[in-house]
Amino acid sequence: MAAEIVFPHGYVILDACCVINLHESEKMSDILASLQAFVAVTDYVYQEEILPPEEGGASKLLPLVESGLLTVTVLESEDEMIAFVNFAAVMDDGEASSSAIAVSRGWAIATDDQKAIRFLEQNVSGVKIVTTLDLVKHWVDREHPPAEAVRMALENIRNRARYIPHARHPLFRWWNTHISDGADAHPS
Amino acid sequence: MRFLHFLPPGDEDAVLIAEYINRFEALCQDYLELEQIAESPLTYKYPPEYKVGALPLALTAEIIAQEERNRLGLGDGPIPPLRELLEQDVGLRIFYLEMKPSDNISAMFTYDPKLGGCIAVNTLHSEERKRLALAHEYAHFLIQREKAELLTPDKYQRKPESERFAAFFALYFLMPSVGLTRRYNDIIQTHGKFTVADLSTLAHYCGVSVDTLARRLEEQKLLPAGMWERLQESGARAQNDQPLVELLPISDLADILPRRYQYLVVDLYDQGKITEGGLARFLRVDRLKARQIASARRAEASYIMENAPLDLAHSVAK
Repeated sequence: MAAEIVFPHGYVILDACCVINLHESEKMSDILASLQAFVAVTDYVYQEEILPPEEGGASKLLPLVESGLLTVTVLESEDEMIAFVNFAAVMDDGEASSSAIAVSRGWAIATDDQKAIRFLEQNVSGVKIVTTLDLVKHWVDREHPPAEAVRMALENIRNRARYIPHARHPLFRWWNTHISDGADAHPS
Repeated sequence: MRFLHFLPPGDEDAVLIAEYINRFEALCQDYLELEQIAESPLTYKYPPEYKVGALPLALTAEIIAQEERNRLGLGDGPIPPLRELLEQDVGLRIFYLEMKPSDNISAMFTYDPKLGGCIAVNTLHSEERKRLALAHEYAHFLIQREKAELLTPDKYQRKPESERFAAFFALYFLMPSVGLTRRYNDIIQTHGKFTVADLSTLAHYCGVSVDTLARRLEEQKLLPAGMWERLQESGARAQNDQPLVELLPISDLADILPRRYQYLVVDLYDQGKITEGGLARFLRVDRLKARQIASARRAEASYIMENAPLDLAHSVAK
């Protein structure tokens, strides 16, 4: 069943964990293009968090930025700075900066971080939260890539990004169906 | 900072050492923070501080080393992975840090009522030297735990009593006289002689370098005084305190962070109590590497769970 994501105002900010997963999938540009939304990442996440410097650091994402598929954004207003400081008291700086911008600007946030998700759900009303698998599934439902390409993308996420969705993730069955040999269960 | 008295002002190395001290203290604080989040404090099994001074220092060190061996149930055999022993059976916090230049610093020890005893060992050193440094710092913990200590080679023109005690203790703790003598005799009884290869094998068995063992045997009068120096002059050289023959590495954890620390971090992350940014920050690596470490620790934990008896209490009762 195809269920496309509707992003509030057409904007979504990617947290570091999602950027890593999408980048390692080797289908990041296809996935971002399929979203038909303004996709951003905070300057802090882009510069500090996503990829180790010895592996090229943020420069690996430069083609996406140059092509306009990904935009690097910074905390701008005083409200955003205050939100960041408040969030940073309970999260680390990457998650806090992404959350501050999502909440302040009314954007969706893409994150797989359990703590960030739980905190936002419990403390901020109305923020739309999506995960890596939501974005990948959106690409699959919208673009209908070959099954082999989907399998490869998911395997890359599992093997290279070392991400396995929690057994309670709403798309865990979808993940298992589309990945070659079924996923190892995440410890629960 | 409790180490400041070690650092001469204006010394270039002092700047580096100060950085290592800061890193060490940050790790200790992070360990405590993790325990507080997890509500899982470290169990301390600390003996009361031992008194030194009534007897000759070497004899005191040997008696205390034997008492500690008895307390820890070690008998007079070789010590299993020393880091694990001191972490799990004593409750010390032990980190392995890369400290350059490696000639300048072997280990650090500090104690705080909240943190307990904390040791940092230079991971650039050989396994044997790390064990010796660990035992040396443990000695300071046993007799003067309130006093921070920085182990640097030839730091003193005349070593203070606490340093001499720690040096003796480390040797007796790793190579107890009775056990050492018995093993030496076993070799003599079996082979009729004690060769350089035997020396090397015995050193590996004890988890010490060859020259450390040779000097200990000389002190025990099982080898003639000066034998090691003569052997070196004749070409039987142990380079950089390594064994003379290539042996399998001693099983010891080379991770910078204590294994319990790593399990705490991964468990807290899996429970959603810290973010992935926190996972990476606590593990001192980038996010991708942090995920790799988390996978490895989960795999170990699931292996243990899969192989554990279903009813642990019942299996113990049997």
